[in-house]
Amino acid sequence: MGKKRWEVRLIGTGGQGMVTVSIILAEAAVHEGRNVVQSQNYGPEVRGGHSTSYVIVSDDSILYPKIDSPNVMLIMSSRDYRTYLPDLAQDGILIINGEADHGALPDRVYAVPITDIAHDKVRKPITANIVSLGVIIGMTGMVSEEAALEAIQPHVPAKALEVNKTAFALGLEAGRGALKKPIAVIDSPLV
Amino acid sequence: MANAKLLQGNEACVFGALAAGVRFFAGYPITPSTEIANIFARELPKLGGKFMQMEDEIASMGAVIGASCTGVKAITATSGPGFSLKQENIGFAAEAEIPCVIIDVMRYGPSTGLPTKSSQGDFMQARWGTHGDHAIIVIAPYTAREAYRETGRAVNMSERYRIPVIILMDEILGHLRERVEFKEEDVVTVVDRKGPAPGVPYLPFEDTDDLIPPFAGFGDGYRYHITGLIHDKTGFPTNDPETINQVMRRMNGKLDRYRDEIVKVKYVDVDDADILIIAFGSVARAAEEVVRSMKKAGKRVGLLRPVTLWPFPDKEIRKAASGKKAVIVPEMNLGQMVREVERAVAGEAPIYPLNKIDGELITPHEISDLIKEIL
Amino acid sequence: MDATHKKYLRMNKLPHIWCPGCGDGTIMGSFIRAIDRLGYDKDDVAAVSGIGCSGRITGYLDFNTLHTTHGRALAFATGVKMAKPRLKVFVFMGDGDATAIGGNHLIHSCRRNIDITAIIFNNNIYGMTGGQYSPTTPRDKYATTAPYGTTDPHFDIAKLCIGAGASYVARGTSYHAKMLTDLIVAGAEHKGFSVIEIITHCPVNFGRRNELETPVDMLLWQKDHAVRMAKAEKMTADELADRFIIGELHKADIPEYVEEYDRLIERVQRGDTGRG
Repeated sequence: MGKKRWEVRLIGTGGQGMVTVSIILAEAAVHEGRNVVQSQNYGPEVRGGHSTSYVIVSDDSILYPKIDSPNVMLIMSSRDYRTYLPDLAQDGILIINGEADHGALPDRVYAVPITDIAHDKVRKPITANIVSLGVIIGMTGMVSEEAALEAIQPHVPAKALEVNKTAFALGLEAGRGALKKPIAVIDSPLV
Repeated sequence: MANAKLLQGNEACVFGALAAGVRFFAGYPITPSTEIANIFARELPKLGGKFMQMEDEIASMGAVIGASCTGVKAITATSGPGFSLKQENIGFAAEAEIPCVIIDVMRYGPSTGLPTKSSQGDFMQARWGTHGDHAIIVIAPYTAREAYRETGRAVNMSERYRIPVIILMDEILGHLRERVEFKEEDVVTVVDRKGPAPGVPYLPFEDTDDLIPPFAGFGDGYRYHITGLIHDKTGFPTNDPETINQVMRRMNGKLDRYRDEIVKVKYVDVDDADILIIAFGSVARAAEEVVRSMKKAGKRVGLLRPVTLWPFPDKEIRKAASGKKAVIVPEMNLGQMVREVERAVAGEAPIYPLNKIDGELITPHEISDLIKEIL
Repeated sequence: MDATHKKYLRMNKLPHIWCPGCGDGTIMGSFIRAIDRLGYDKDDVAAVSGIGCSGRITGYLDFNTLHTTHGRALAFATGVKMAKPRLKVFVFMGDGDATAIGGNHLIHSCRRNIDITAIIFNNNIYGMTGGQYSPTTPRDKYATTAPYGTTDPHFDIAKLCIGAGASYVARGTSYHAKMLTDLIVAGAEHKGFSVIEIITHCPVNFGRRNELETPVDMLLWQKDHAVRMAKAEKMTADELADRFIIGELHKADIPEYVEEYDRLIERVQRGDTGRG
């Protein structure tokens, strides 16, 4: 496959913890000795506004620090996935939160009931962001499970570590095997 | 230092400054530089240093100069609007030769502009923002790792030359986090300002051979006068034309004398290139991506990246640009550095500006499209 | 000039630039006598000033002296004091310097209660630029920018500082020179932010335009209109209407900024973040 470059865009609502997910993903990549850039589009809204964060994980050094066409996108908010579909890289995936109401989805779009998993199975709605992390890693294998768990720890309170581990495991489970066809990794931001 | 870690650009500036011995920060909250203040507030007390959130940007600059007058290494951080407000006191630091470092995390302007979007619009203001002839050094890192090292170098240069140093970051570089693995060359060596020689009368603004007068801290037993009025070598105001001319030429002359030590330029595939890109900060990352991609496609494109923006690396640019098929100058402004490039290249190669002013980073595509057009 | 004054002056910088009859020299004399009485080592004193006639005082005083930008003396002084707390820091400002362009720094220095003594030369006018009205010029006075009389209400500096949280506020005059020395000594000895407002006179740019023809007229005006605190307490509001009170106006024992920050450092260094 050559040198792999993952470009991940996370779309959420401020306060959902999606920026934290991007930082955890980035730290997991650091633990694995890979190159990584993480950032976010800052809006003036501190809470409740629209937030986009992103992570680039690459075996090569990362120069251009932005993402134009992500190969992995996850939408946690209720925004319409069709708005984002044109941005998606060739053979990339777009994960949306929930399964009902979406109707027939295009090939590259996957609906995963992230909020429901956090609510019904973890029984901690606040862990939805960690479920989403599990889903991304389950579907892409972008970083190892161990590296992700190591990166999660400093971002959750000690007493909530176990429940977050559960959330992550349930996310992984939901993500694994869900892929219908392989994701193309990006060769260079120019190609 | 050994382990790789995820480091934000703004955060890297703080740790570079601390490594160089900075123990005083005064600032005022402003996006997108705020993380710098936040982290100094957390880290300085641990080291016995002091953090102050002042009542405004002007006061922050004043407090930094005041702290530096006692011999303590001092720094502040801001963005466009605050940088504008600080200019008068930056001029004071230049005139009174008080070491200090100002980090400007650029956002788009003028005025309130785009607080959360990036820009390179302060390129000229950093050099000429305060009134009058003055010596100032401006540097621009392009990665978090370099932000660490260059902030350390900025502190050291300010201490060594008694010249204020501006670090031009930008929103993208300030906010991004990236994997940084520090190596031997990243170690910041601490440089202290030169003190008075024992046994000779102290002249605080002496016309020394090295053009850098020795500095005595307030309270160290040398009572002297510091003023923003043009002053003679004793530090007291003067209206004598000959003295004014001599002292101002010495002060500004430091930049010429130490130019080659201060100027730092990075080259990527420049010698064999048909096309030369000249870019700094975040934009240089897009440009270097183009160099890398073009190389794979068999096209010869090079990058000259000024790390020191002022003094402007004119002779390096002239040498690198001479005879090239084209020199491309991408900037997130309407064309500031390109004027200096034109001056430096002086007709030795055709120059193509590439300007983007929508708050977004220039993309590799935009640069490569221009290259394709030229070829 | 006696030996005491010579000890604290940079004799080779004299004569000073102030106009004949100006109050600034009297204030400088009171300040020198205060420092002498306080017994401070000259090396341990930092004198910081702003821009304007009063700002030039630092050129004449033989201490660590810092002549800053207009209005910003307190900001610079705050950095000096924080970075080297053992220095005794005095700040000299004019009324325009302290309450117009530097008003923000004044109120915030009061709020912080940092151990600095601020000495404000209030002559109700911008003297150095040729007599423009300031935030302390009373109503219906004449200035080069008020050729038909002022319409602006004015600040009461002492009240402003008390309201902003200064822990020591006093008012003196350039007429009551001995009392001024006492007030400066008390302000310096007080731990916290001390403000000494000095009602002083600018014969050239205020007096001449406002029916106080000579420096003597202006000093006599101060004498006639100043009321000592003890006496003022027995007077009615009507009796005090066009007068001003001199002496110690306010004193409070509240935590000092530098000491509080040093305590924070000590706490953080032993691992106590204050959050339990």
